[in-house]
Amino acid sequence: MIQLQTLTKQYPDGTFAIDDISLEIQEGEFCVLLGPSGAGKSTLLKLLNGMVTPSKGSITINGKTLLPKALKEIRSIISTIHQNFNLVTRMSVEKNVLAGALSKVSLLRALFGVFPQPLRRKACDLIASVGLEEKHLYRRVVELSGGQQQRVGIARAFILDPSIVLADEPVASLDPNISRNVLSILRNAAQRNNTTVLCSLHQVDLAKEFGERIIGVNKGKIVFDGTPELLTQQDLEKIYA
Amino acid sequence: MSKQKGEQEQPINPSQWKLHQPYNAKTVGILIVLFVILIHTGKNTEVPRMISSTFEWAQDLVGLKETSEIGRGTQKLAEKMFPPVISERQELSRIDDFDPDNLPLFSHVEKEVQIYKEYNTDTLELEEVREEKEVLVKRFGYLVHVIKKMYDSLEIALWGTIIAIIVSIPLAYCSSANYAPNKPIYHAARAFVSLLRAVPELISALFLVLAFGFGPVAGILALGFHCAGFFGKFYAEDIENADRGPQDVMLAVNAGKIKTLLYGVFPQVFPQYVAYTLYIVDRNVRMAIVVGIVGAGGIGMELKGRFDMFDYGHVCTILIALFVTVFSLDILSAKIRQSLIKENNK
Ligand SMILES: Nc1ncnc2c1ncn2[C@@H]1O[C@H](COP(=O)(O)OP(=O)(O)OP(=O)(O)O)[C@@H](O)[C@H]1O
Ligand SMILES: [Mg+2]
Repeated sequence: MIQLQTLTKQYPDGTFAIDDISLEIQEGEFCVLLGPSGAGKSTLLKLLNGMVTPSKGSITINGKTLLPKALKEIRSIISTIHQNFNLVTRMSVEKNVLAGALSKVSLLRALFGVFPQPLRRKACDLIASVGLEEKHLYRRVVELSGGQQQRVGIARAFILDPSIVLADEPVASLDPNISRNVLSILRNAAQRNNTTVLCSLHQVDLAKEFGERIIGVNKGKIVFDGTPELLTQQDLEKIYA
Repeated sequence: MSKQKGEQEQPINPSQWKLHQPYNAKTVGILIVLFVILIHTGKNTEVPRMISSTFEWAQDLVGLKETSEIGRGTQKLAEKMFPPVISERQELSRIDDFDPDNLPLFSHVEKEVQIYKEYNTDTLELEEVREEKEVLVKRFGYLVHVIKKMYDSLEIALWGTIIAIIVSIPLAYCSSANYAPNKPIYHAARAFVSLLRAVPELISALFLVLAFGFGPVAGILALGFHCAGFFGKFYAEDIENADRGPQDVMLAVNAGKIKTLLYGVFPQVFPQYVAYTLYIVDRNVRMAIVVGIVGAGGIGMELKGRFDMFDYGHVCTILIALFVTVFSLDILSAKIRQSLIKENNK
């Protein structure tokens, strides 16, 4: 469970990217953060894995408060998916997925690139589960399409069985059909593992289609919180005001 | 206010627009200073003599003049240098266990007559002495020797590069802003990297020869430390410029700095690193020859020895070997670089 209490983030230049947000997200929920550009979606996701420190308020994850000394422990159950994939494009698909598990691999093994066999099998399973094939395994990521690359990103995010996946506009650079495909792969993976997903999107139709719960943000504040059925035209106007 | 002022101003006729002078007092001043510097330094470095003797030589070449200083010098040198010496001669009496029935490959025994003048202590006069001795001539003996020495130099270049890479890895880690353990280490590492680059290898070789004695070790270390300065700087810059995205992902899953560097940075910068290494190997071959001159092993040491003994025929052989090696290495590294670029664009 994720709990945010009066969470505020003010950047050094004075912008309130997140403004006094309180929120609770249950285990296994697939939440969509919906909001216009500059709403604070990325900032909220970065706050959750400690890439950005809050100016005020607190974050509690599975009962543990996110403080610098607990950061490592909390990060070990969180993984991230990004708009621009953030894969190492010159590296193979297999290595990219395995790179998500580096914390569980000894330095010596990492140095020589010898990953434990069970981990490599798991990587294969994941790569297959996101719809890639054996022939893709040793292909360099540059040689894949955008949609395929993001599926590698999803496989990497799930390699350590995270309890939370943070996805920041995972489909922003993909076309609509491929976006649907990638998001359903993400949803299926999350359902299989009972993973909590917090996914920011800017397309309303995708948010309605995939979100079990939609959190509308605008100017750092929550302006809507509920199931997709409850999202009205007025709410959308508030979100995009 | 300003608008009013603008209204009052009448458009000026283009024929009365103020034009900048192409030259002003400052330009003239700078030119004078430059001129003084050129005159002063030129006089100290004998530039006028260089010009006049070159001119004289040019006249000599086209036949306007009988002789010239440079012409005489080069002719003398050319006469001494040609033909290049490729054989090796050894007096039989100096070979310990000489076996006339079992000569080495490509060799034969020759009689050599030496005539020299000696002061006869009885007659108190200079007398011509004729001495006949047998020598073993190895047809390609000296050439083989030069090739061996050349190979030594290549080995020095190779190991110099290896040492440079080994030394520069921790330096690059500490002198890249985003991976350095802390600020003081970062600044210290950067300063050290600059220092390594700043010391010319010929100078450090001079001292390393004193410390480690004549031979390849001094050469390897001199090249290694100097080039570690290059690698340290280039590697660190590439690490800093690598795409942050994948690195952040790995750091965010507790991969730690070193593993992140291995998996998030290294694959990105690898092609660049190979290109630097090729470049450094290429220059190290040339520098390995040069540091040999101060006693750090290899062909340079041989060159210096022969030069000091006025064995210009031998010097010629060495120079030809140098030219062939450097030239073929250049072609080779260009080939490798090309295939690398192809690989990259795939
Ligand atoms: N590092 C930063 N320093 C200062 N201001 C920042 C920084 N990062 C973001 N901001 C500001 O904080 C606000 C929220 O930014 P954020 O990136 O969280 O928005 P977003 O909802 O992710 O937008 P987008 O959909 O365009 O990605 C913006 O006004 C942005 O300019
Ligand atoms: Mg964003």
